[in-house]
Amino acid sequence: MKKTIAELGHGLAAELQKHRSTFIFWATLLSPLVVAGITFLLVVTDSNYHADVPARWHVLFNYKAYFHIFTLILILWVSQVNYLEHKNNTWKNIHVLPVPPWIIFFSKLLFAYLILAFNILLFYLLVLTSEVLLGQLRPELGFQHGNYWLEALIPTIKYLLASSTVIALMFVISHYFKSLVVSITLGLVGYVSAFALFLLTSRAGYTGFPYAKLHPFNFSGHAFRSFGTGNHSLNMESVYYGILGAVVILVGYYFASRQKNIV
Amino acid sequence: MSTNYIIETKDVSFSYGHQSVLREINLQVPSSTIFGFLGPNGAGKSTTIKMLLGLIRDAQDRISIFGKSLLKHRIAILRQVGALIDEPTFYDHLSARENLTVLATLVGVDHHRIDETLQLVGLDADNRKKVKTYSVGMKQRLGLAIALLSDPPLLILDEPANGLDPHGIIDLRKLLSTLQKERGKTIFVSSHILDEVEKIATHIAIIYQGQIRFQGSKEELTGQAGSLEEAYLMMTTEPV
Repeated sequence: MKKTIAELGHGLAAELQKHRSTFIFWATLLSPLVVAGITFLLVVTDSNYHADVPARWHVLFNYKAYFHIFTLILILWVSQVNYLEHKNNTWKNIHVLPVPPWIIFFSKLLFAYLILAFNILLFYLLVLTSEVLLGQLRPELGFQHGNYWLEALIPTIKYLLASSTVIALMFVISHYFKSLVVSITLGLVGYVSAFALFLLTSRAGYTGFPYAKLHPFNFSGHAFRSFGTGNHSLNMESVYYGILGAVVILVGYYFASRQKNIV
Repeated sequence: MSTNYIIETKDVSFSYGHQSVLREINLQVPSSTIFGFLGPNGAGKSTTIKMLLGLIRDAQDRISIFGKSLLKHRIAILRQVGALIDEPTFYDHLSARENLTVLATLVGVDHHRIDETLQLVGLDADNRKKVKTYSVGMKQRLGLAIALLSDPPLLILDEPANGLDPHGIIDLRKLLSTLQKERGKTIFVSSHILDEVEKIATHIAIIYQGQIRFQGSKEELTGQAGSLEEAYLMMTTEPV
């Protein structure tokens, strides 16, 4: 067990060394700064923001918009993690090292996941920081009276967990296909189709396709619906779908591909 | 299989689809030798090396390295093997040092080995340049550095002299001889450059159309045919 943890640690450190000088890595890490920073500046400087802040605070901070950006970043970032090996043709170098193949596979996946977790949690922390600052800078908005840390934290975690299937799916796609364009295109097809399905079925009075929430790219959108409802529980159907889907995809793909020759 | 040999294969065959690439390969590589693996392009040298390293999964139960089955002890075996496969490949956006750091980190090799290895292959002066700016020869040196990084007792090198200039080839020859004579390493080196193999190898195997045509000491081979060149031509030419 100790050895496995050490090997995973080595794997994560090696991934960090590979990616830390790439643009997509830093874009993934720092995109929350851009979105939260711009939103903060808008709220500070625009006098149109007023009154019903307590009810609309997460709308003000573009939480919903950010989660769309997050999914697009996810597609780009997870594709990049495996593409780096495809592009440089370095799979063979890695697979002649005395490291079990599953450690290589899992440390890449874990690294991709941890960076995304960092991204979404950084956004959450930046929004909370903005809230504190706005309480001081624009007290008329009333942010100093709110306490949103839990209300925002749980849906953020739910969103991340429900995104697990998409992360796994993108990981498998980018592991299988050598082309970055193919990986990203397939990811975008998933995203757009889920979004279209969601828009169609969520229109008022339309009770059409009841299974839109079963589209893997909609798990996270469904989890987001608890935002602002006061539901502070992680116990949610879409969270389970997200985790279960990820496990099935990853285990299935790993066992299907592990006998593949590397030529 | 016998444990007298560092590498031993028993009737290893491999096909890409219907195309037979290797046919009943029986290799026996003695310890602390430089084993030249000769053959023309497309003879099956690189495929054999990929099989020895477990990159091609077929017939792993028929390959034994350090007396252990590759099928059952792949990781333990790879811990003692350094490899240069095909045309060496790297993370082009990183420097030589960073490339070695990534691999050293992944395997858990002490990072002080990085400087030693860079010096050994003559890349210490250029170690902070991005690999994408390297010449073919420099990349070959870096590939060799990766193989030497963990100071393994067995080196498996696929065409290590490719792209090296005359100085590089002489350096490589000296390095391999030193590693074998002074450090007792076993070096399995594939090549189609007869002259180089003749100068460094103690043992030779010749592969042609996926079959081993000769295997033994260099003296045995030259004793049979007069010179390596004559022996090679005899064994790799179809009768007219």
